[in-house]
Amino acid sequence: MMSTATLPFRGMHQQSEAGELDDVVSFYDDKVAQYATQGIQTVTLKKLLGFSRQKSGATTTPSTTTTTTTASDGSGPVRQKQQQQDLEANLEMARFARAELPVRLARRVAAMQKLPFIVGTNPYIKQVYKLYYDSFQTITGIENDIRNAEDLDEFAGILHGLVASHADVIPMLSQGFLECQTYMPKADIRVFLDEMIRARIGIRLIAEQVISLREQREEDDASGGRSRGYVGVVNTALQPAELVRTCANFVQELCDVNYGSSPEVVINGQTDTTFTYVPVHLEYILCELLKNSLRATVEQSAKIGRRGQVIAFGHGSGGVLGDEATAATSGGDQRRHATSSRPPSSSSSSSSSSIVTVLTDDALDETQQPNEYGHPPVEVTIAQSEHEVTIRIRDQGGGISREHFDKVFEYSFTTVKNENEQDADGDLHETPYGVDNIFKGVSRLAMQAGLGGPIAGLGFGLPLARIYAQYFGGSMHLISLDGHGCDIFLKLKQIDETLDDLQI
Amino acid sequence: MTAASWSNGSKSTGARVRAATSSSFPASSSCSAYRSSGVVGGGGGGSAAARSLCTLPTTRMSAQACWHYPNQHDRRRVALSGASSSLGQARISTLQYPTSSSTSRSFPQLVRQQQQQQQTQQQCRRCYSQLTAAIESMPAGNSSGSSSRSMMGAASVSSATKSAASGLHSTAFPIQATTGSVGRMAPTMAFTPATSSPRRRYSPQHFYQNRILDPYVHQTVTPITLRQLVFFGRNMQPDKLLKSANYVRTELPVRLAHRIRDFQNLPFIVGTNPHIELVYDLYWQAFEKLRKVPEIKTLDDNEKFCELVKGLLNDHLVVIPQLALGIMECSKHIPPEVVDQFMNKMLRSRISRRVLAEQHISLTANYNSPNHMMTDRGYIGIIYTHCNPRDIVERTALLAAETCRQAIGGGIEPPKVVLDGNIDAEFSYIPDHIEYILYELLKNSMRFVMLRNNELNSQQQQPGGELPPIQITVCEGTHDIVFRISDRGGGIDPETEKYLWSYAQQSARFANFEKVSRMAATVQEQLVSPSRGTSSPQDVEEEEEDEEDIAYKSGVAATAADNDDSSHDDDESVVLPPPPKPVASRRDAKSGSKDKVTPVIQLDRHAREQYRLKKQHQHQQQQQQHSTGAAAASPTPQMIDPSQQRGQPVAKKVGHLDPRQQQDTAVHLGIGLPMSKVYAEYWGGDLKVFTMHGYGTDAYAKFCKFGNIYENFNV
Repeated sequence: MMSTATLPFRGMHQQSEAGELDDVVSFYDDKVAQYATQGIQTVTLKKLLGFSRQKSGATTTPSTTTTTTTASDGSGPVRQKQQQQDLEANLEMARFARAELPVRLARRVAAMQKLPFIVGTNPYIKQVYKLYYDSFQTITGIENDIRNAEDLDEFAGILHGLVASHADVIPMLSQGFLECQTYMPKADIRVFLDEMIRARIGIRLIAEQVISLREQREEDDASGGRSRGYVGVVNTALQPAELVRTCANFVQELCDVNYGSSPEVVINGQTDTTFTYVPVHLEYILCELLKNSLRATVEQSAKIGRRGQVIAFGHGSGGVLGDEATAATSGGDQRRHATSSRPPSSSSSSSSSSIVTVLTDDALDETQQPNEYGHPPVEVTIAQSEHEVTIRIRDQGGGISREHFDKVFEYSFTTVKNENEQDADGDLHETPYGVDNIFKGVSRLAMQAGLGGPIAGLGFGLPLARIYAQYFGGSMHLISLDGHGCDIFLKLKQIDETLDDLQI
Repeated sequence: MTAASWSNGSKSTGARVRAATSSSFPASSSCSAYRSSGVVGGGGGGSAAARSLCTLPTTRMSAQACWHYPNQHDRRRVALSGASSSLGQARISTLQYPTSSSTSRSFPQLVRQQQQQQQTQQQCRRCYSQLTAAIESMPAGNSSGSSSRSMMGAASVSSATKSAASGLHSTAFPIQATTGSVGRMAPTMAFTPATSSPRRRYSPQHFYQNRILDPYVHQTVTPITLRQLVFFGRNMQPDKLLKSANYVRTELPVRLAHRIRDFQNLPFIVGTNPHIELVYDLYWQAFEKLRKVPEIKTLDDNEKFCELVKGLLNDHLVVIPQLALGIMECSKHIPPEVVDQFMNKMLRSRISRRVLAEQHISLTANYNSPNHMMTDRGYIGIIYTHCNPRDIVERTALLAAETCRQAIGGGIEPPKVVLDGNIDAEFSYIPDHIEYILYELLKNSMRFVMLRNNELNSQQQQPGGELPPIQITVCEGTHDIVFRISDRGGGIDPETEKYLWSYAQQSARFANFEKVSRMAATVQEQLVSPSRGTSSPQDVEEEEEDEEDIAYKSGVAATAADNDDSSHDDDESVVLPPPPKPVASRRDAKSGSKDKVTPVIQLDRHAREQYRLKKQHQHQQQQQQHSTGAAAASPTPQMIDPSQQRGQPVAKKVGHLDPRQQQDTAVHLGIGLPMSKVYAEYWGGDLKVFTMHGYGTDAYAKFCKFGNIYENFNV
């Protein structure tokens, strides 16, 4: 703010475009450029955790960043000491955020300044630009050092406001670039958005960490101890199976609302897996993937007439060749694959000397049976090894046709144009019935309302999910079995294993 | 400095063939004797030398080869294939020592070697006049003495192109004299004009002669689709057959030339690796032979052409092992990406050439069979138009299970395979390709499920019980058929996964190829031995006249002798029903209930079509086994090791590995996955592997079901 005070037109613009971004101001503002040229200080998750790890410094187990309830059983002095440590950690995090966030915001602002002029004039893009610019100004405008709890409260409050104001950035960008397609090459848009979103994740992560550490501290003070595995936004004892179940329940409900029925979600594999991760990220990914899978399964059921159909979608006349063949060979019963934890029962007729068993429906594990609506289950398998956690999601939603496959990871506006309601979701499966948008609309509302939490930026579906997955060095791969379904492999690093490599 | 001592000194113990031949080679002192006798005496000298060779260990096959080579038109494939590799090896190991030694010997050794080399060189120069005289005095086949001499001056490239192959070969001697390693070369040259390379890598001749290649390299290949092959192959007529022959005749040299050029673009040091050199030589020979074939105008011409091609196919069975070893040894000289690209190109091109050649040979064979109109049975050449997932999986699963049962042992039954999806889909494909892929994938899956089970058992985490099944889901989409093979074998650790498809990154990856001399990369290789035990003695007496045919087939099939210790060599075997039965059992299965799976391996129509050849092949094996007496006493079905067939000592090979390790490495050559990928991609398909480390692995093999994708050469 200080640096803009000398600008000649400042007053004029403030008058004429009150509430709008002051373009000229930002033009003459070299503070952004100054900050933007600073390299970002890469934060490793170790650092992120480390700020709070001191919390448990008194305990003898450095590997567990959270102390167990036993810590709180201690006497008053111990607790006081701990509180002091918590505060220190929180303060350090806040100071780091205060120094780092402006740089990162400035880089985003600078990146947007490099967009073609016409793109920059798009109202949505401009709005986002303004948001970033304002946020930058706000944080650099903080004069006080963060020295004590009061400073921290104030700073956290500011951050909270900023985070809230950025909630709609993704939909805005989506809409903005949808409108700008003609002015920018696809590839450039993609690069820009990738960077933008990745940076956004980092920025939010830092901000969230400050906020939630503070909240935790308050809660701890209130409850008199800690029992969660959370350190800020990081959960050191995240159970993917549990999270999958939560997401599945939520998505199933959405599915029920829109289609009247939904497939089961079977969770198997190493369901007792526990690891360190940022749950909101995983939550977003899982919801996105499950939503796609469930939707595709239900639609595929309608398309090929899987029995037990409750909702009359009319039976697809075309049908994928493969599915018809399936139907023919199995008398209308769909065959499904069973990756149960136990081998299929020996109800199949083959003798013991045979190696190959053709799977019949009787041989299906109970959990693999289609439900009362005829939907085969969506199968989620969890595996853990020393370095990584893999989550595989299998559905029988007919897969993605070859033509569409290459596009599913594109930012969706490139595949769906000129629709009234922009199809901002990664259009994972083909949707011949047009119920797509309703579902998505509801889903988005619901997600934004609650479950997606602060980082729910629905609108980019799959590509966004993949960026999240890759953020901590993981990966996400999608395999389409045309006519059958999709398999998705979500690989997540155990982030406490590879902390040093991870940069946020 | 003898060839033998070289091979001993060499760090790379090399493929069995190579070790055997180099050790079998006479010391350089006696070499010169051979040289003069061989050259002067022509065939007679050759035979004399061959006898001498015979007295050395392991040289039965060399001897065979030598006996047959003088008579160029009556070559016998069995002998030839083994011999060509051995001779090629021998030639290389002798020719190449100046460079190869640089990697494997100390500096003083090198100096000494060079001194010796110089001496040899002087000797050679003394012999030079003798030699040239000898060449001129050579009888018929080597008539172009004059052109030889003109070539010695390295003056006339055009004469090189014009001169007959034999002429070129004979010119090679004096060239040797200038390279300094002539001593060991001469005998080979003398005996085997037909297979020895028409050029020498270090000679000016080779360099200038290379211009022959240029016009071919500049031609683009004419890719085909599976569907084109099918359509073309229907209703075969003589004119179509000739058309096919001429297409193959003109196409193969072009495709070969491209690969030869790839070799030539490798770093020089890589080109001097003996394994690489061998393959390079083979390619040049094939190229030379093929480009000289005149237009095929009659069915007789075609027969001869087929014979030639069969011979080449057989000769080239050493290519994959040699390439793998060569690449492994050269890993420090080429960046991994280059290696991968080179290998992928090589393997793809190799498939493409084999497809063309085998298709044509098969079409010819079908046409020649008396009732070819009746015997189609869904086969168009080597393409089967009724490929069926269920059949394929059943067959390959049994094979893989047998392999794993033998290899991992411990009385553990391999995991079951559960099959679902569009198992009755039908599509046209080359069964060899798809079966190879599925066999490799299933073998991997089973192997890891079993190993993991052992591991868990040892940790007492899983008390016995049935192994988690391997689940195969077949999905038929609009364009593709996908086989998803899902196992619970613990997955692949990230480090391994990183280099899953790379030929270069894990330097020891192909170490097991030292135990494998020949590899066709077909699942037929796995089918080799089984029925030996079941065929009756009298069968042996039949059908001897068809030896060439058999040899071709056995060449394709016999191979991949990963495991050489006789207690394990049944790795490669599988229990086939006795030869006369498969057709019937197959029919039963077809007419029987769908969900009932016959427990025996079923030879499908593919097998039926090849039944005749296979039977002959079996007979021949039986015969050879009897003749060598190597494994006749063993009650278990055994792998026919090509070396064993030819009387090579079996003991030479592994031995020092502990049995378990040996068993396990036996099924693990390291090339299965990349090779499968090359196969899958060849006709526009795909192979992907995704792993859940700690749990299991899913492999997705995709095949284009219409066969309308052009051959995929590009990497």
